[in-house]
Amino acid sequence: MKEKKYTKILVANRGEIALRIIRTLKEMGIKTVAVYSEEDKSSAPVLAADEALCIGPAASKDSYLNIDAIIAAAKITKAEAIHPGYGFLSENAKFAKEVISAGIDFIGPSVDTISKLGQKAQARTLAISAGVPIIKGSDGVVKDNFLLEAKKVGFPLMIKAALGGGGRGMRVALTEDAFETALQTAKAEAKIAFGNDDVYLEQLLLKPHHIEIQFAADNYGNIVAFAERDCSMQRKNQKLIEESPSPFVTPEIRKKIMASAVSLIKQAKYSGVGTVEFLMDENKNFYFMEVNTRLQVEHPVTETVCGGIDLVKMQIEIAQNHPLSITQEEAQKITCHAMEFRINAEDYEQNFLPNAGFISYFQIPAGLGVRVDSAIYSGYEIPSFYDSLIAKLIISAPDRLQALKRAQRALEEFKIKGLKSTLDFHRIILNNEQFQQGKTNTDLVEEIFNESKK
Amino acid sequence: MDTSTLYDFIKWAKTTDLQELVCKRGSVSVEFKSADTAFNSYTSKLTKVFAPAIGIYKSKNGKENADLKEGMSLKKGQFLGIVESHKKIVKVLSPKTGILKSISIKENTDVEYNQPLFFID
Repeated sequence: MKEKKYTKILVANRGEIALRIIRTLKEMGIKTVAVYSEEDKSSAPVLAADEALCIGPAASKDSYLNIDAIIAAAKITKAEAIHPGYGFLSENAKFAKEVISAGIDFIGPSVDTISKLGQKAQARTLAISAGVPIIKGSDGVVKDNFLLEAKKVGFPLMIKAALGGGGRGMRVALTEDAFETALQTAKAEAKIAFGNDDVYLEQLLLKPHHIEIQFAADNYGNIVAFAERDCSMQRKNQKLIEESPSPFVTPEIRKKIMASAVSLIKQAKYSGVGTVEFLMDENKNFYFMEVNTRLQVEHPVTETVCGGIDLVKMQIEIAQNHPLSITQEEAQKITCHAMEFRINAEDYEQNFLPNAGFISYFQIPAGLGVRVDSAIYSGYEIPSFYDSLIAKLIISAPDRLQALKRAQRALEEFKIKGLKSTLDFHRIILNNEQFQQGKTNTDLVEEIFNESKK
Repeated sequence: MDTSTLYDFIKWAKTTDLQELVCKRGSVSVEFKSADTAFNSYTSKLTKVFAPAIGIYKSKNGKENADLKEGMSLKKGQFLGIVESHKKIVKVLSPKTGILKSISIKENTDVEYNQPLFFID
């Protein structure tokens, strides 16, 4: 395989991640192209890039999700590759396919890998064949003998509508006694919502931990896995705080879960950077959830904990057919404790209602062990069209206790005026004893939130 | 924005050599143009025809040929060319009946979304 060297890359994204990618490309001596919607004309990545092109109106579907417009921009600027960032088109196999057939490289895994891992059933089959544990469940849709099937899966369990989504047609049965009622409710709800009352059963983990493994794989079959990220501090599947190493994972479990991730990635013949997500129960048994075939929002946690490896640079190098430049030993190093706090333009007192608007003053914290990834500046107007993430505060310290103190200090220094953000809610979390002790699970944020309302 | 802020803003703007300045705060937006930009105000009174997509402008599309010349009269909805946006072809049509005053795009050149292509009186 011939190694190549890009001279110009188009970044098909906006906000902090577009700026973060542009920064690495500049360090690599690669020219940058930003694309933007009319709404983002004066945004930081547009000002930072060597070239910037307007690709459409504010609505994402006409700009950042507009495949033709993005490829047209790449052709006009003669960009050799497109970096999709996260969100938008980053896990869209159709987009990757179009990019490649236009003679442009897609920074990410192959089209086949994206589509295979994007389908839940296929990803599950792949996990089974790689010997990776999955959540126990019924063998597809259950048509009759419901209670018998339920007993096979075991309680507590979840009844899920086959055509379901968004929590509808989904019911929990904690015990056998509660099963019949829960089943009838789920079926009735599914019938109304999806016109079909087919359901399947899945084992329910109570208060699980969300543990994920970042990995990188090159085009020569080399794979490295990094120390886990613990993303248990989440609400309604939206992560708020991520940290590494996990206060819950032991060195033995770390070894096992990393090996599982590598085995799955090998089986998938994956090339690029990505993340395998797992759920972990109280007994530290872990189960495969899904693979994210892109860079993740919380990737700086890994960059920080392993001592400053640039994951975007790794993505570019892999796409250029370079072999991985680090060994497994180097990747799994834990050089500090790292935490990321997502600062969203949301009013937690109003159930995390997003609020767009004018930021009259924006001052980021600094000092030892503080990194802020953001595209916001004083006088910036937050558009209402896109997601509410305005900054990521990444803290590093020799251990978790010191990281917590540093986070507290940095959150005090962080000043955002003009709109409500999650800064205050992070301060509340930092004062929570259970969080301080590292006893996190995916219900804790909601519990702290409910407590704060009293 | 209250009037005293506005006054300070105008005073400051006059000390600069900026030709055009837009200040946006929430729903309030103030726009200034210097005397130099007034030169362009003749054209800006005309109806602008914007690029409907990013891509390459072409005056022909199959059998359709815009064959445009400055000074010619145009009918509303008349074909003015296309923008080839990768695999999508987006037609440029005259938004009104009038005289084509100015063509500011050359055949086979790149256009950004919303870039002014023609000016119609």
